[in-house]
Amino acid sequence: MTAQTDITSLSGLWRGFRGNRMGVIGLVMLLLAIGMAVFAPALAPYDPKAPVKVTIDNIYAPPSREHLLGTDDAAKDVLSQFIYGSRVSLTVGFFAAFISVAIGGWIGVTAGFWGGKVETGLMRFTDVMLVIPDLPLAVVIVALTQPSLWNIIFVIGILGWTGTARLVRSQTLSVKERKFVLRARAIGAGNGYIVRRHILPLVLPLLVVNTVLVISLAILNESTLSFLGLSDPTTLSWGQMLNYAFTRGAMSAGAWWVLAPPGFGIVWVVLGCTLLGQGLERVLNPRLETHHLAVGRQMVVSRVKGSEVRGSEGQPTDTLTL
Amino acid sequence: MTDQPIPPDMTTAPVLLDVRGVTVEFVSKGQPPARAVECVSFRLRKGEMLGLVGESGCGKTTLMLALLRLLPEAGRIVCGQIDFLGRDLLALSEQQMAEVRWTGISIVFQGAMNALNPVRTVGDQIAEALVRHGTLAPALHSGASAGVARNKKAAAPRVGELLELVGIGANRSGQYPHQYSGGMRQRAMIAMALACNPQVVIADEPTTALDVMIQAQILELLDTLRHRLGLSVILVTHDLGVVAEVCDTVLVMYGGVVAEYAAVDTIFNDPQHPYTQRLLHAFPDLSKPEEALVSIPGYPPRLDALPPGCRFAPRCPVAFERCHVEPPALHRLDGFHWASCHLVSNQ
Repeated sequence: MTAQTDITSLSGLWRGFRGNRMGVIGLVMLLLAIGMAVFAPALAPYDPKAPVKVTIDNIYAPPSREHLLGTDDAAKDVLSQFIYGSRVSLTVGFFAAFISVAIGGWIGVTAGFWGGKVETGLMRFTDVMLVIPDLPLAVVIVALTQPSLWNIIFVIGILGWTGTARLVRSQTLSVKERKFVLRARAIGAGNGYIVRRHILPLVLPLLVVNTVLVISLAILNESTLSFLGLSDPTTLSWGQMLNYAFTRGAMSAGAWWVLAPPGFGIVWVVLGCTLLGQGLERVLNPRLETHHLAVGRQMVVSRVKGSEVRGSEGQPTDTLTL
Repeated sequence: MTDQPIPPDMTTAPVLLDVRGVTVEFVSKGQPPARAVECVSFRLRKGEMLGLVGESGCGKTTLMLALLRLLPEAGRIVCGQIDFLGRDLLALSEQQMAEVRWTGISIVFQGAMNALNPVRTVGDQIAEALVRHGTLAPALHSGASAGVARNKKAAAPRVGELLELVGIGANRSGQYPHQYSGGMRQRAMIAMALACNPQVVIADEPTTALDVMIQAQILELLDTLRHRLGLSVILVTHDLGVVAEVCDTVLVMYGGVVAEYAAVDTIFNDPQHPYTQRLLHAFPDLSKPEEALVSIPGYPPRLDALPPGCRFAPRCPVAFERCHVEPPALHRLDGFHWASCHLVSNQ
C-alpha cells in the first residue's frame, strides 16, 4: 500500500480517490448526467412541452436528422424528452436520498449512542419498516395522496432509510466505546457535543458513501413508480417515458428509440452512483482494499532504472523476490 | 522497623484527596454483583506521587474511574467517601462533578492511541478541554494573566504552550494523531491532562505499549512536571521498577482490596503482606544478580467467585486456617504502613 491516505482534508480525499479508476468513471458519469439536467434547455433541440402538429408520418418516426432519437406517439422529439427527463429523475434521486439519509442517520446515531430503551424502540421500528415491502406501500401512499413530484420524493425518502439506520447504528456502537469518547466525557463534554464532534466525524464517511448509493436506489424507485403510472403527469421523467412507451404501443410499433433512451439513462445514472459510491468507500475505508500486512504488488521494492540488483553469484538478477 | 518510612513532606503537606472505604460493584442482570473494588482507602497529599500497583484485573483502573465518577453504566460505587479538598465527590451533582474533572482531577487514559480521536487534530482536542471549562489557565511561570477561552482560536497559544511543556513543538498542534509517534501521543495526552491546571493527575498505565526508552522519557517527564507544577500524581502501573524510581508512596492492590499501603522504601525494604513479598520476588533485582525469579502460582480470583476469607489465601504459601474463612482487616503497623494480613495482626 502507498502512504496512508489522509482522508481528513478534501485535497487528501481527492488524491486518494483519483487513483481509483472505477470511482472516477462513476463520478464522470454522474457529472455528465447532472450537466445534462442543468443545461437541458440549451442541449435539447425541441421544447418537449411545445405543441406539435401530429400527422401520420411523424408519430413513432424513426431517428432522422431532425429527430436524432426519433419521435414518440405524440410526434414529440424523444431526445428532448430524454434530456428534460433527467431533471426529474435526478431531482427525485437527490432529494429522496437526502431525506432517507437524514432520517436513517438520525435514527442510527440516536439508537446507537443512547442505547437502552431508546435503542430497542427505534430499532424495532426500523425492523418493522424493513419488513414492509417498499413498493406496494409506496404505491398505496402515492395513490392515496396526490401523485405530485414532492409526494414521490417524500414517499421514497421515508421508505428508504432503514438500511442507513442499521449501518449508522452499528458504526456508532463501535465508535462510542472508544477511549476518546470517555476522555471527552471526562473533560466535561455533554452528549450533544460528543455526538457532534466525536461520533459524527467517524460516522460521516459511511454516511457519504451510503448517500451516493441511496441516490441510485431512489432514482430506481422513482422510475418504478412512474412506470407504474404513479407520477405527476405534468412532469416528465425517464420512468414516465417508459410508462408511455409501454402503454401506448411503442413495443408493438417496434419503436425501440422510444424505449431505449430512458432505460439507458436510468442504467447510466445508477451505474455512475454505484461506481462512485464504491470508489468513495475504497478511499474512506482502506481496509476493504487490502489487509495491511498483505504482500501486494505495491510492497515490492521496485527497481531503480539503471541500477542492477546483483544475485548471489554476482549475476544481475531481473527481479527482486521477497 | 524501617529506616526512612515517609519522605518528610509526606506527613506535613496538605491532604488533597482522601479516599475512605470505596467499594465498587458491577451489576449485570440475573447475576450477583461482582465486587471489583472493596473498601479501598488512601490519602493523597500535595506533591505526592502515589504508585498503584497490582495484577491486571485487580481493580486499579476501576478505582481510578470511580474517583472521577466515570464508571461504565454497570458499575456503581456502593459505599465509601471520596473527599477532594474537603468536598465529598460522591455527593456532588453531575454538573459540579464535571467542573471538578479536569480542573481538579484529570486523567491520562490507558492507551494514548485510543484516547485521541483519529480524525481531529491533536491541538483541537487539547483545546477542547480549555473551551469546555471556559478558562485559559494562567501561563506557567510566565506571569500572563488568566484569560477566558471562548473558542478554539483563543485557546491556541495555551495549546502551544502545553505542547511545549511536554516537549512537543507548538507547530505540531495542527497535526493528526497518526502523524505522531507513540511516545508523542502519550505526551500529548499528558498535555491534555494538564490543560486546566489540575491539582491531581491520574496516570493510568501511561507507559504501556511503549518501549523502554520512551517509557523512561515519559516517566521522567511526569516526574519533572510534578515538581515544576506541584502536582499530585497517582501512577497506575504493574511495573514495580517504575514505582521504585519515581513514587513516594505505594498502594498494592490484590483482587480489589488493599494488600499493602506504605511509603515506597517500606514497601521495597520491609514488605509485610505475603503478596507484596512474592511480587517483589517476581521482579529482577539488579543488586542481587544470583537470585532466581519466582512467579506466584495460580491466578487472581474471579470477581464473581471470591474466596470467603483472604482473597490471596488460595495462592498464599503461608496461609493458615483462619485465612480461608475470615477476610483480614487492614492493620496499621506503624506510622505509615498498612497491610491486610492475619499474620501481621498476630505480630
